[in-house]
Amino acid sequence: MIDPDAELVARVGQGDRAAAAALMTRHLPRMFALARRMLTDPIEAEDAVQDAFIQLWTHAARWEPGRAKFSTWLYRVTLNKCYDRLRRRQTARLDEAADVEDPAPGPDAGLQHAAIAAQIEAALAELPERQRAAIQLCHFQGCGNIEAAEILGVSVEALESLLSRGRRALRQRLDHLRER
Amino acid sequence: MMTEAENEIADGELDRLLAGAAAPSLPVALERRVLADFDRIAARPSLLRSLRRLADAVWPDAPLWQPACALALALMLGAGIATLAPVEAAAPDQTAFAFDGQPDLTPQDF
Repeated sequence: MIDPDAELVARVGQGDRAAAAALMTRHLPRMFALARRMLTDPIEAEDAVQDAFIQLWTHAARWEPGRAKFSTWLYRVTLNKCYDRLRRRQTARLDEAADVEDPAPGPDAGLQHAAIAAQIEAALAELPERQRAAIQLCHFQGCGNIEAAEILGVSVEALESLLSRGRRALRQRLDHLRER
Repeated sequence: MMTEAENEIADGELDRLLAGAAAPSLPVALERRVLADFDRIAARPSLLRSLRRLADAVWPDAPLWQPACALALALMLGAGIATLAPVEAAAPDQTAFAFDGQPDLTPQDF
């Protein structure tokens, strides 16, 4: 298995700033999207991604190519940072995210689209965190089932179960958006 | 009375909705913060990083254990040769002579 990131990680391990910038450009948008949807709070998502990169910069010199795919490790680190933050939350922020106003259909299609997007985000935020992570990885990050299962640290069967339950919950919660 | 299935949107419709959800926009400042962290961490002295640089100079693109093993093997080989190979003790210089003495003309037993 050829890891497309292996060379960059090795250079980062030697302190190469250009390699660090290239690695960041390659993965930051997807990492942020993952953290943003897991945490719903953009500031917390930024902090989680920053923490994940600090772990990368600190451990890059010890990275051993061939043991695991680098991106799988990186997304797992990001997800763990998100879980840490979710655990620290004592109050149920998910309730806040769910309180999205039911938008009245307006003439502005852009606003309507944004309102639908907000309802999808709210429905995602209501899901249990592992179902949300599974949906996020498979639907938004484009991960295959095997890679997503590795990132989540579960079997492929368990991932498929998480996906199935998450999709069912979303289908119920987004019923009001059905095209009639 | 509606069944549970009737209260759900179809799978295809869910896929369409999820596909329409735009990716969250990336904050510009985040890139700067991440790279600033890299600069701060790279500026710290690190024995491992120095070793890796040295290893890469000796044996580019190899994992650290390969040059380390090669060095250890070379050291063991050198130590083995030094210990086990017969080294003749420096023999006394048999060509030494003195101008003020009688030359020794007896045949040497070579």
